[in-house]
Amino acid sequence: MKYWLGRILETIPLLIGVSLLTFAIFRMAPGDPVALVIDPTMVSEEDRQAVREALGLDEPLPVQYVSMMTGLFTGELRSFKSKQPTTEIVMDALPVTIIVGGAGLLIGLIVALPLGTLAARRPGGWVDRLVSLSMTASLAIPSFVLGLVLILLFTERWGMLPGSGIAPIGTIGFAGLESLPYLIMPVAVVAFSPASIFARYLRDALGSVLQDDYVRTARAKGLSETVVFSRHAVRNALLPVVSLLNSLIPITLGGSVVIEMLFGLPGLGRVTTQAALTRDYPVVITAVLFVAAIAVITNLVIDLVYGWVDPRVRVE
Amino acid sequence: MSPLQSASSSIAPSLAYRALDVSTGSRQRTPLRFLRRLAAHPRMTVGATIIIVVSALALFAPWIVERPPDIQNVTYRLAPPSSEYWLGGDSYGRDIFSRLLYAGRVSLSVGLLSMILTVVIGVLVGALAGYYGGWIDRILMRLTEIVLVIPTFFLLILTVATFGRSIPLLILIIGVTSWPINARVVRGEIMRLRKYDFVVASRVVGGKDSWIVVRHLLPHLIPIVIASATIRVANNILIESGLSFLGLGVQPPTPTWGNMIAEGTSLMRQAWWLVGIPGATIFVVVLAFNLFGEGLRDFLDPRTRGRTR
Repeated sequence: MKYWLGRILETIPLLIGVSLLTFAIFRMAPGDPVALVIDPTMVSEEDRQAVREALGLDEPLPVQYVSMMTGLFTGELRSFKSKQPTTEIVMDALPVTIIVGGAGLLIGLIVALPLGTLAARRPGGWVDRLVSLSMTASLAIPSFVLGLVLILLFTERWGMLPGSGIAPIGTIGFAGLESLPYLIMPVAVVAFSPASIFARYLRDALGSVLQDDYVRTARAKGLSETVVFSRHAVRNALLPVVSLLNSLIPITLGGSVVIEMLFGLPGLGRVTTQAALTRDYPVVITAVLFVAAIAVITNLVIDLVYGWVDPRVRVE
Repeated sequence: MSPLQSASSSIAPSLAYRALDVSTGSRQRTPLRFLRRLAAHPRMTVGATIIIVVSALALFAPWIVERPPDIQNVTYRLAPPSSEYWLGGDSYGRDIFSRLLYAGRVSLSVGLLSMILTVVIGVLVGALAGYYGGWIDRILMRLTEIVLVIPTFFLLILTVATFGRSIPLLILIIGVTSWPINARVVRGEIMRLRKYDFVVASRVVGGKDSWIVVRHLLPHLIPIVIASATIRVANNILIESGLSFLGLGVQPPTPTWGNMIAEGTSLMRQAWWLVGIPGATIFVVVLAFNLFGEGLRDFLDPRTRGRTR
């Protein structure tokens, strides 16, 4: 009980810290924040005053922070461009990011399971070398280069997959099964790096688990290698591998920015980039806070599940 | 902790001893034995060779290329690679080879300079947290956690949108946002080292904290810091290329590998080399820094010497 409660309470200062840092970066900007926030030639004095009020810029800093945060929750913090509450904009974009990122991580894990296991069964074999090679490559290929190669081949050369957008022209948002072809390449790009990292770590974790006594016992009982792996070794080796998700989720969320811009997906990364390019500041702040909150909360959930599956974690 | 860095921290203990060894035993080594040791670490040697060649090409670009990177010649618009334009021409008829080398100057210096900042902040925060422990450690590690949990590109976009996109600012921004992992590695090492007798002895004879950290603890970290700094360069080059690809990094007409790709994307159907060449360049350079960093780590660590990964 103490573990669960302590772990949950830990996230609160973290979330507050994230929001303070976000606020601090914004306020550290040189000069009048309003001049920075909006292009003076594009926006009227009324809009400027609205910004001042929305952000409470005439108030002392702590008051400003509080009013920014309350504005966020009440929907008073609005986009300069569309005048829509920023939370609405962000919530509209969020599903695309979560679906593409989540599918990428899941598929990465699914692909990594057999690869990592095969690599561990025959160290130095061709699967092992393939896993090492793809790990090295995934750390060096920028995701947008990989994506461009896929677009060049599957869209431009062979015309097999649509290279941009999320649904056929004329439909808005997800179009059910019709959206599927649009998601294949983005998800594949997202999955590449987690797949190689998971596989590599599973291989290493299996390598050390296989030295353990219970594996020797299982083998001594005369169990086949397949059973030793599937019933004994992989289950135990998988735990540390799954905890990699804690660092892979923020990385994947960050990577979504480039992937969404490349494939024209209307997700959070694209919304944030476009807002930044047009200096639509409230949208950028809201997006950063949301995406950090997602990272914090998913990490919490993983840790809780982890503590539930593996009781050793709870005693620390 | 990122997968890469956790691997580096697990071999860290022996790295510290190696640091001592390097300072005392290096005089007896002959050049031949040194070369033989290099040959035993092909990854490091290959990585170093590529880094040296690419850096030299970028550094001496004005003496190597036949025309400046901003000269436009309509005849060579989207021209495929030829004897005249070695790597072809871009959408303005500019020489891609020339642009690639000049882009290297920007991309490499952003990667290197921001790495220095990353390492300085990382070592400072890590050393303070690891040496003093207690509430200093708690505060600094919380800060580290906060920076780490905000997905990098979102943090970068926020910062870039606030402060602007000049090259010095980008160096600053990338450096200031990417130190947490280095800080964690350094902190762990310092916490381990400060329990050793030589640290206690130094304190007994009245050594000041700053003296102990700078003269006794940090020298032990040099190998691990250098190795992780090399890998950091690779990461920071990737970050810069990503930002420039998004249009949030270095602005055209100043070429970087990232914005060359961004410019070429819309025309890659007619001319794949517009994105293929800078894309391959990023891959090779980042790979080289990773190979060099990992190779160096093994080279400096007697335990992993000769072991295949």
